[in-house]
Amino acid sequence: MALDLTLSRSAQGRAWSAAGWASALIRPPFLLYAPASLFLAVFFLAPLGLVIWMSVSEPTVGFDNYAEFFASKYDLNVLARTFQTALIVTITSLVFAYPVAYVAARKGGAVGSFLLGIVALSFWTSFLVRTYAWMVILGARGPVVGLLVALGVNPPPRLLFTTFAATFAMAHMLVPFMVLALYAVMKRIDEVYMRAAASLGARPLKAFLTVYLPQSLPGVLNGATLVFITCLGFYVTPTLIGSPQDKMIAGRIGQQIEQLLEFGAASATSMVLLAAAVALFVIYDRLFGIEKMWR
Amino acid sequence: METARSLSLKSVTKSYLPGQNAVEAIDLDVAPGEFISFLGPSGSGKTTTLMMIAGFARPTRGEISIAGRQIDAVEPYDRNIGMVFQNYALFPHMNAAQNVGFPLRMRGVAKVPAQAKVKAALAMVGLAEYAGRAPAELSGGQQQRVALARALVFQPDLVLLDEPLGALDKTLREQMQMELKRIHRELGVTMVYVTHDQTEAMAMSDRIAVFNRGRIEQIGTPSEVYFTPKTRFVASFVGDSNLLSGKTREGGLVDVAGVGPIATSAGHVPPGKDVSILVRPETIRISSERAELSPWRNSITVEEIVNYGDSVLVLGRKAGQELRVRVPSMEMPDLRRGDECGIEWAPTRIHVIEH
Repeated sequence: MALDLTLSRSAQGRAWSAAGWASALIRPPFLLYAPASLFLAVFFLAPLGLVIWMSVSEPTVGFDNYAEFFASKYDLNVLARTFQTALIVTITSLVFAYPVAYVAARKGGAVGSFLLGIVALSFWTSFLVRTYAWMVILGARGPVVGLLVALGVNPPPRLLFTTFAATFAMAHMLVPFMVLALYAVMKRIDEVYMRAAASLGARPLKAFLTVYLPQSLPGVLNGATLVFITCLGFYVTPTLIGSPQDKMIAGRIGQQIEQLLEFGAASATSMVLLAAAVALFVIYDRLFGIEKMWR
Repeated sequence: METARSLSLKSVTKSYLPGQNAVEAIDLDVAPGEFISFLGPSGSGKTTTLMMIAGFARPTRGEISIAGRQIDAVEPYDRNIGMVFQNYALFPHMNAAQNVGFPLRMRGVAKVPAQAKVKAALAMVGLAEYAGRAPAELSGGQQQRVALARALVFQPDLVLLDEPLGALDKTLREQMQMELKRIHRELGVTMVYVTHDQTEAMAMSDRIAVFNRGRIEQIGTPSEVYFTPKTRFVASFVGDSNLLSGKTREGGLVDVAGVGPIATSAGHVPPGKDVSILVRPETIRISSERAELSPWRNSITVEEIVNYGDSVLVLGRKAGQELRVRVPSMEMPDLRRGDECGIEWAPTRIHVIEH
């Protein structure tokens, strides 16, 4: 964007020439984003290019890896399960996050700060640490199983290494993202709208459903997209505490690299994951026009 | 139109902190169909009082009733009070018609009659063509009209307006004042209007309640409040004023230090009392010749002349006492700063405030 501006300005000023190009490139805006661009080019675009190349050249040149992926029932299942899990995680974290963000945004003050503090604390704790915490909590000798036994559930169900454990833990880990996305939008919803709704005869629940909820939808959309896309590529948690039979796509890529040494296939799977994330991001970008409509 | 309702507040008090009353012992009776303004500076308790009428704040003590029915235990959504907020508070995700239709929807009015009412309400505020517009696509004045239509469409018992014109520019504000007056006349609904703008309160109200420090200092018609204020605060807050301190003598004369005896309308006040006298700047006549000193004539030295176009404000001084004189431009004599000129007033126009 900044580059476009510099170029169009120099194009207006003098003839379109190599000198113009050169001077545009060394102007301050370019210098400002040059380090980041360089870093991304070397450490992101180049490896990405390598992965793309591997996906169409290992072991033979061509689209065999993609063909195999889409012909494999197993891989397609993994893809479908990944989407399904991401959807469940998104909905679960939305259900948990919405009330928290709502109270934090509307109460403000000490209650709001306390809630946001908890959210931030869990936000800053690494996924790995929290995953291990879940291993302890859900483990065979953990407190949950202990409680179930004490309540007479015998034998207790296995909790760890199940899809339930992975889904639940991922939802827990992504709730902070959802809360912050919701809070950012909710904080901008003026209290006066709820008062106006009440003065016009809306009971609290009705006022919430007709006035507050619709205005918070951009936050829901934002949070849901964020959580969904993050969840698509989740590796640590499903691998460590999920069911080995119910792999998600990131786990499948890990398996292809570490156990099967199929670098080409792993690259192709990665590209499918990337394409899915990009597609979602494009949809998200389109949908976000909704927010502009209201403001 | 429906029959208008009365509103009554009986020693209504609100304190947020113990020992400190935001609003203290407000007594007020508003007649059915009356247009009453709550006028006062910010923090004077006018908005708090309005919020208690709307039901968003609970009185610490006292009673509020509409048409004789006490409403203190009634939730805001059951009060049937229309409210227009300072910044309109139109729902941004609904268009103008949906906004106006909202209170009808909440009341379960069937779709067809609701649509007719919405149409009529938008027509009443002159926005029939704008039904499909989102609030963001409307100007400030148009948004205000939609908010007004929304507060009126469900035939409320009472309409509360919280500084509704504060965000508009002067021309638009005056135009909206006329509109509001017209709508009030047409519907005959009881309206309570909060403002800190005294000209607005004067222009629109049947009666004005002047708030100061959580109390009502005076309730009266605009001219009562303007010409016969009960307190110095009311005299200085409403309109431009000369407030002089003095001591009464016999025959309605008041001695003002340095100025001399001034003839006033206060024949009834016993002599020897400390009083304030109010002389409205536009009730003083000015002449370029020096006047002979008498209880209704005096002289001032001109210190500043401010031309407003329609009128001229002359700031003069007489022995340490500043005097403001407002003269219609056409009657302004040829004066310059430093000139000495004569002033004259009608004793009946000079109001005495007892302390």
